[in-house]
Amino acid sequence: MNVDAEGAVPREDRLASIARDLEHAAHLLPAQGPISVFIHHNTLHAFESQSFEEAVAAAGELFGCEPYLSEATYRDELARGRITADDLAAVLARDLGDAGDRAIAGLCGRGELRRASLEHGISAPDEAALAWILAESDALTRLRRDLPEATRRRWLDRGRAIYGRDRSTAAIERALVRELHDACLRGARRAPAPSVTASRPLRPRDRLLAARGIDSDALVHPTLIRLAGAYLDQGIAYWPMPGRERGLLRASLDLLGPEGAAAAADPELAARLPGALAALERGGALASIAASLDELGIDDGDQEPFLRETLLALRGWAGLFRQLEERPDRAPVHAHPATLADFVALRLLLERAALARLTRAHLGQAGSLRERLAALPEAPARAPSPAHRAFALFQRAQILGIEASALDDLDPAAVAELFAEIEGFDAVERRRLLHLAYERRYRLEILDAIALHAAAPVGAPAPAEPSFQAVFCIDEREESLRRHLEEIEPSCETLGAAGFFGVAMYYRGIEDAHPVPLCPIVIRPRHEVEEIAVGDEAERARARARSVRVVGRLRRGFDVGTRTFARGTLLTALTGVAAVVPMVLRVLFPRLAGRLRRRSRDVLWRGPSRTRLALDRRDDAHPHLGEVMGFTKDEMAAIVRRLLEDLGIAGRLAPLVIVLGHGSVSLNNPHESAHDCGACGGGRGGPNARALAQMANDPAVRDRLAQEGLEIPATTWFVGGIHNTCDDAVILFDTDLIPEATQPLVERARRALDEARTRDAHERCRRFDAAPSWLPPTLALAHVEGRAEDLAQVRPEYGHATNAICVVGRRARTRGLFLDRRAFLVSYDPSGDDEGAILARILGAALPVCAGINLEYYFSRVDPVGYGAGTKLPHNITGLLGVMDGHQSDLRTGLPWQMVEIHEPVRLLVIVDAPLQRLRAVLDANPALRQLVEGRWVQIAALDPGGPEIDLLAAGAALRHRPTSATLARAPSSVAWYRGRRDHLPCAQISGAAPGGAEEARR
Amino acid sequence: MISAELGRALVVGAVTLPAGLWLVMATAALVGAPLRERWLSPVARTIFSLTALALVSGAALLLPADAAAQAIDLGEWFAAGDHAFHLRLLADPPALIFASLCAVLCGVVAAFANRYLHREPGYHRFFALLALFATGILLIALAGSIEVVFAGWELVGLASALLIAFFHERPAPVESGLWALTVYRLTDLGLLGAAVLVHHFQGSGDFDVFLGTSWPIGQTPLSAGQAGAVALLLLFAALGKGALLPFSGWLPRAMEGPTPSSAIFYGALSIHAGAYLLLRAGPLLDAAPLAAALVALVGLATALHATMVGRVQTDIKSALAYASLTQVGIILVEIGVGLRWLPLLHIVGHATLRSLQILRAPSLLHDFHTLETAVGGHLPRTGGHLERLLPEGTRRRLYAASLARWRLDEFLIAAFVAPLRRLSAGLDRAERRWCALLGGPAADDHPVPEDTSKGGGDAR
Repeated sequence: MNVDAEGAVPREDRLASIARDLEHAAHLLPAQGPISVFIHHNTLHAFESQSFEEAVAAAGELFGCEPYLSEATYRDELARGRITADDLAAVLARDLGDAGDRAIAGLCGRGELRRASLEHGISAPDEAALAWILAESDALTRLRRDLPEATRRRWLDRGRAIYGRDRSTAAIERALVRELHDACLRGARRAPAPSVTASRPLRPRDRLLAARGIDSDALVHPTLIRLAGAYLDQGIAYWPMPGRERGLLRASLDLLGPEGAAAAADPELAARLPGALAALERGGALASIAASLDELGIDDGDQEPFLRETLLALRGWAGLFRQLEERPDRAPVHAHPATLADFVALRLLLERAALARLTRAHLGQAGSLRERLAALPEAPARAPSPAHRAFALFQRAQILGIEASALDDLDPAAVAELFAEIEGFDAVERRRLLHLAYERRYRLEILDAIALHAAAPVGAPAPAEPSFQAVFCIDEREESLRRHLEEIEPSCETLGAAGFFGVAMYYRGIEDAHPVPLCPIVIRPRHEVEEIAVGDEAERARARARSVRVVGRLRRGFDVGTRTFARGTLLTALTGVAAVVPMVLRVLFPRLAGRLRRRSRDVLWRGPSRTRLALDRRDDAHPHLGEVMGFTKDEMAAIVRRLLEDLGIAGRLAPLVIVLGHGSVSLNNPHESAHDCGACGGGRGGPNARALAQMANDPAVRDRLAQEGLEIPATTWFVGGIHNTCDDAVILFDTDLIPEATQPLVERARRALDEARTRDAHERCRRFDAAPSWLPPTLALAHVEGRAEDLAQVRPEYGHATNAICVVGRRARTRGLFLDRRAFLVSYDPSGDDEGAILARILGAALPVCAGINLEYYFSRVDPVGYGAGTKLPHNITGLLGVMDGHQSDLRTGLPWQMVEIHEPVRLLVIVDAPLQRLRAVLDANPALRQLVEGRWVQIAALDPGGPEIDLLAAGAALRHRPTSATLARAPSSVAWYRGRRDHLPCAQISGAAPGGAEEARR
Repeated sequence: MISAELGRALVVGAVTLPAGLWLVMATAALVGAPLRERWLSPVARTIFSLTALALVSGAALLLPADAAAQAIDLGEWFAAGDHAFHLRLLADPPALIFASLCAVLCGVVAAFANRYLHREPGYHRFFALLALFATGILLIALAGSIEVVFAGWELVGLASALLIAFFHERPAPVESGLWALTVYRLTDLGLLGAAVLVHHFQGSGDFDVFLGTSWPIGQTPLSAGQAGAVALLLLFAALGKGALLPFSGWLPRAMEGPTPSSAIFYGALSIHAGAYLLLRAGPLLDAAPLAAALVALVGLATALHATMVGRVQTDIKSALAYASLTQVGIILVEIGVGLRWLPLLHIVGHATLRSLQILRAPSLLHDFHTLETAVGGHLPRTGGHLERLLPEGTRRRLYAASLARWRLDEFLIAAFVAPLRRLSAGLDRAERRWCALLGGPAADDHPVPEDTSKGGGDAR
């Protein structure tokens, strides 16, 4: 047990190597922090140095997850025309290149053989199922049903020639099929045996499970999950775990140890506790891990993979320990010293005890645990049987019309070639190609639409001098709101920028308990901003805070009280019946209940009607989390300048600029934060928009900008606001400050926004089965409002489920094009950015965020249970940190099924309105972007700023997009295009809206 | 009298509606054509709303009526020799109150689940089981004889176990469902035994025969010993459904199902069924003080167990499950010490409040944030007085024991499961020897499959 005694490795080195291996393996853990702040990221971030195709295959192998959708799903898409035969032919041709024409065993072309496998379902049953299929189904009596008519006729003609015309078709078919199968079987017997590498599991648990069907994790996990949950709990348990300040391992050992006496029932555990405690004292958790590795008999060479497999056994919990170890500031309430090493050490200790108990009970008393484990038989490698290999050939032979005699005539080399080709084109390869075809179809549709729209826009031209400008987040959920706004108010211009609008801050609203960071997760804000009441409103704010606090304390007392013994008795027996009123109201009439709640709150204690952000730098106040309170005027000027430059409107500001952040408020939704603004780090971007507007209106800031040559006209006013993507509410801030001259314009914009959000709600409702398609827009708005308040609603909104493309460029290039809420829209004006500096900073910020969202949805959709969080229905919030299935499971990371069910998993298609050379230069200069593009984690194309030509960057080369269709669907308005249709819709030109026009495109 | 007639018709209708729904759905599923959500959704919503409405209005009509009007005889179930089994409902005040509670909660949960389970592949199955459950719990509530109770009891048990195992594609829910089913089957013996005994003593299982007529002050014709024996068997039956000691372990496991079924079964109705049964059997407890004392004792022990274990739970559903169990234990104490109306009020109040809490469980983060906002900072710590009152060693022992849920499941396995397995393994060996003796040694010696299931660890 003692390494020093064995003298194999010097002690310090040993611990350092364990720490290193642990660190290395930890990269594979889910990078999801506490669920109250949900940040979208590429689920396979750890694999980003590989290409997408390699990564999904490698990760699929490692995690036991799916790399793509299932073959059956793609084939359904093939059947309904979502993938076409053209797509399959094109991706096969690209994939094989010249090798596609090579004949395989002289029987058929390689491409032909692969195509047959892709177009027809090739079933690969396991051995037992195959025996059943051969014995019980009609596989050996009839030809496949899905054969094309011509092929079938050819087979039957040949059969008649061989077996005579007088026999019945059924008899001929039976004889043909039988003979073909026999020939395949003979071929399979002649073929060289496939090389099979047995995967040797390193965890003793896996070996015990494989050899004897005994699962030691069934003993380990309940205890481990309870201890880990108790340790990390942020305030659900009435009685917190004692001794948490000393770390998980120490606190658990104290609980399990003689004082806690929990180990009394488990002598094996009791026997190991003193040793574990001593190791912990001597060398910390790593020493305890070292002792466990020794007892389990893990060789040095196996150490890293063993630790990896151990971590992945409960990867949700392990990942959370890792996250809290790296970012303790992200713990919602208590940041106890969580370390991954503690978690692994505890896990291995429990595993040793469980394995000792089980092996003693089932494998005999003799020897040490290590010896008993070493004696476990290895699971033999299973090569596929000849029947199995024959069945794979048999199915293809029918499709391709390869006859039995042709197979029998093959020489050994040809047989080997045939089987190597068939078996080399395995299920993952087939799914990869089907996926490429699936993506190709969508890519072509979009590129066609963009090119056609650029060549021949419809409708009235965009205003040269817009009446007002509205700036939104780049979020694809804002695409529909922008489109409707433009349809309603053709004189306005809409723009998109990352939804924190360059204002990175910790923000504390007037009612908030703590400041929260509102900026992308990669930034740690320096500045802290508070919302304060204005003038005589301050007293009212204080009064309100007092009464809210009293009510809050009462409610907390009630909630906790109902769960206790004596207070619970009084409260449930005496007041419980009253709960029937809120229950019936909230379940049956959610929207009404929400209104009543808000109404009563307003009547009971009205808050201050006027507040402001304390934006100016204050050196007298101490920030809670940031470094300084507020911004200096210079910092504000820089922020405003950068945003206006990014948007490309620095020199052409309208009299009114509305800046709208976004967020999402819903009930009964542990994943609520996943619907908020990603650019605000899973927060709500209203304060950022408000801060930006306040900065841009500040005369001192305007002075500074004017000195730098950026003139904001005195007639221009900025208004901040927030769009709630769940109930489609739009709120504008600080409307009391608007100059009188701008008021009528704000009124007009306000009316347009109200109409636009109503139509937006209507468009969103087409996706909700529960919203009938005849709903008029006003009722649709009521419907989405009800969803947000509904306790029973597991789909308050569909979030980013429709994301698929990202357009970086002038809105004029896409204005008037119905993009079905599928496009992130990032404003960028290619004129005046010849060096590409602005493009570089826009892409550097936006692309990783959009790709992260897109890839998280991809993986949660292709494997909803492995990469995603599974269905929400049994989710159970634990420790305020995450969700489990039921009462004790691994933490479920990723997105729940209800969020991704309508998602089409395709890689993000980025279309950049910039010259190809500029785009290339920008990508080459930024390693992070280059990795995303070269690894094919995103697809990227350059749209010629002066015309409709599109160049797709693929494998280092640029491919000119050749339009596959000559016309684009056209509709008078968005609603005319989507009404009555629930699925994803193709693009269409909305003739009522105003596209950019040729002049602007040429500008 | 007309109003009483109408009331009786409404009550009978309320029991028939979910039963009819179940029958239709089961038939549809049996012929391989389960109803589509689009059709089922309005039908189920209507049926469950009608059930609640019929029962509440029936109760309003029947509550003031006299005892004779409250007995509903639906005829003879079956007869054998001198024995006749009556299909009899009793719509007296406690039955009407409890049944109204059941119907309203089932109605609310049906409305909730209709949206919560939207697009779920098991939608049809869920509503079939909910209908079955509603039928069962209404039969328990309105039973006029111990046979009817038994019928309802079995339906409730079956529906509960199947709903715990609702997500049957994962192993953990199925294990948990099996665990609950085993506990139910074992303790159901108590109810069956009680029914047999009552028939043996009185020749009839009708409540008016062995419990007297005017609840809660009925006079039982049974002797103290007989009453005690029946009461103890009923208590044993209640142990399982009520998750009382030592069978509490299935309750947190039951949270594997979808949230609405957890709310209604384990927070609200199913868990109170045992308490309600004992409340009905109050006259027996009055006649047998020792049995009554035991009821109070079991209740007290359960309440203590549940409150300690509940305080250390770190997931919201388990915390609420143990909070429920605490109150059920206290309700049993109230019944044991001879109170009748208070426990009834307690059941109704507790069931309503707790269902609302469980339905809100997924909103916990939202509510937590709202509370923090209101209080203006982190929420005050709880559990401080425990730490002040107990010395550190005791505290740690108590905490560890509570975290391990007092090792009740391990105890049950050691006390019941392991001996049973040893016995069957022994019988198996004996059989093999016997066969070998008769027919020579077997060619292929199949090993006995091994099993280490302690449940729980769904290591996804």
